[in-house]
Amino acid sequence: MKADHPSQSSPPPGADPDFAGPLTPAVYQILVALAEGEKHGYAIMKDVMETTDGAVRMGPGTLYGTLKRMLEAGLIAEAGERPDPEPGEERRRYYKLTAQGGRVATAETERMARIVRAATRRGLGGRRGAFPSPA
Amino acid sequence: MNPTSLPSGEARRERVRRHAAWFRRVTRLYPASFRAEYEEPMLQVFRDQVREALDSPERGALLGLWGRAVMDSVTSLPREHWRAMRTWFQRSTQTPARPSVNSVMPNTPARLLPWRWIPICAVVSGLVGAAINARLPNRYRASSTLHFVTREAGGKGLVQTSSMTPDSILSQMVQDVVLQRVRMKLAESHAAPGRTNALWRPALSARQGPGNTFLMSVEGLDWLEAREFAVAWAHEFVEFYSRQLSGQLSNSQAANTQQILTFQRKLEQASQALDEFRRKNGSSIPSVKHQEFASKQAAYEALLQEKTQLEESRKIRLGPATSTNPMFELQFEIRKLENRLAVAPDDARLKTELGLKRADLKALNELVESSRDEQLLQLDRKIAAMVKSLEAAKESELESTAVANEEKRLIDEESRIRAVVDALANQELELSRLRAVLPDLEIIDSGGGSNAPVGPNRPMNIALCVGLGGLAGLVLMIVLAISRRTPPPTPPTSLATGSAAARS
Repeated sequence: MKADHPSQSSPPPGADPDFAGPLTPAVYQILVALAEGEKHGYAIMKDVMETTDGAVRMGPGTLYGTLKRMLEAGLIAEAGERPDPEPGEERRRYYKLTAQGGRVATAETERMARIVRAATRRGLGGRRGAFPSPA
Repeated sequence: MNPTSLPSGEARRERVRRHAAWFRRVTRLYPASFRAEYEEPMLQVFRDQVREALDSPERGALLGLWGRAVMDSVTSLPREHWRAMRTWFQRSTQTPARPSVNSVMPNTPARLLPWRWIPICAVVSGLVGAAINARLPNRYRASSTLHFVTREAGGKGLVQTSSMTPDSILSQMVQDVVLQRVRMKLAESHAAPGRTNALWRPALSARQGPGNTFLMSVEGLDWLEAREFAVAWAHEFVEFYSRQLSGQLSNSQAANTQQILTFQRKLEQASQALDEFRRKNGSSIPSVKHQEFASKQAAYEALLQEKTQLEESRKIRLGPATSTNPMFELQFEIRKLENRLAVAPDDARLKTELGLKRADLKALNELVESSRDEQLLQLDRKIAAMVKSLEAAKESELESTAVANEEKRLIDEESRIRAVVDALANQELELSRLRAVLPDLEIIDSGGGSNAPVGPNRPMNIALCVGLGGLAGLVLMIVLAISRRTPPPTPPTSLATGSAAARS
């Protein structure tokens, strides 16, 4: 049952060893948001909020601090500046997922999936869970 | 959403602009490098959020937005500053090799390049310090040593007065009055032909040395002048000190003599007052008066006793049964005749004789009684006279006691004044003795020292300049590092830490 233990999981081949461990929620959610395609900052923020049902709301400081470090780490890349037709005519800086970012996101998703599978096997998931949530 | 409740286009843009202006103030708290790159995108996102909040039907949407923005800044600001600082430190200590520099100096470790300002500044500062040092004039030190000694041959130790403590001597050494005299003396000697007239002000110091010695140091730019000053200073101070000490003693003696004269006058007055009193009151010694009173009292008591006895004898008619008592004789004969008459009641001769005897006894009785009354009367007179005398004696005795008390007071006063006079006389003697054993300052070394300069300490000054220059180089390096605008490429940092506060 060694593979079930998340902390002992090995990184996928080709992944940057610096990101072998669990990612922070902000980094992982940005990776997930950019997996859909190129997005600017506000669009990333909105996507994170929607995918988490409003549970995670990033502020501008956290968003751009995290983006800066992800750029430096090569997980994402700038995809140029262009105006967003929806809110207005302002030019916006777009970001996209890099190949390395994709690998790191995939590895993290698999790691989390393993945790979910393990939890489900132990009766923590679904309607038949051993510990149903209170009505 | 009620479209009528929404602000018009211009008003809405104005509100967005105002909120964004406020948020720009918040973004100024971020590190400069971060701000340069992300300030505008952050403002863009915030403007979008404001527009969304304005469009939102929820009440307090703008307030919630500002709350989240402030909380986000509170958590992200320290993090960004910490990372900016870490980046700066990594750049300072691990600057990546620059091709141009490495090509010129391939053997120089590139990582040491930011530190180059320290040796550069140290060397420059050291050179400047050496140049200034070369222009600094030499300083010379001359000194004089004084010894605090007593004139007493027995060596009973120092005679201490308030002006003889080491602290007092040291403070007097640097008194203006002493130094002024030294300068005047030197000015006079410098006015002589062939001498400079420049009266410089040397650095002076005085301290206590071992074994009651005092060291006077003079530091100046000319060895001869420093030496001259040290010699003059020592002599002037010794003279000043002796004069001052002697003056103090003379003042004390004068004050003492004045006091002695005052108290001697008081003593004379007291003696005169006592003599006058004695002359006025005579030699009324209380004990004599008391004896007089006691003897009179004894005489009075004797009279009283005599009177008592007389009054008692009145009760005993016959008096004592002695052959010399005529009344007893008569009584005895009467009793004998009565006995004989009892045997011969008809004897007329016995009856006549008995009658005669009884008449004699009666006459004798009357005679005795009148004599006793006379005696008692005389005794009463004597007792009355004695009572008066006794009262006078008592009064005299009391008066003599009061006089004696006053006399005693005058004697005590005289004794007290005499004691003060004696004490002052002793003090006079003590002052005379003090003058004899007056301590003295003896010059044991005058104008000593070496003509080798004692300053400036050039190696130390240059070393100090080098150290300060190095410090300035360090500060310069930090300032330059901070003022760099473009951060160097940094190695990938771990994203596994530090962003846990992303949740709001």
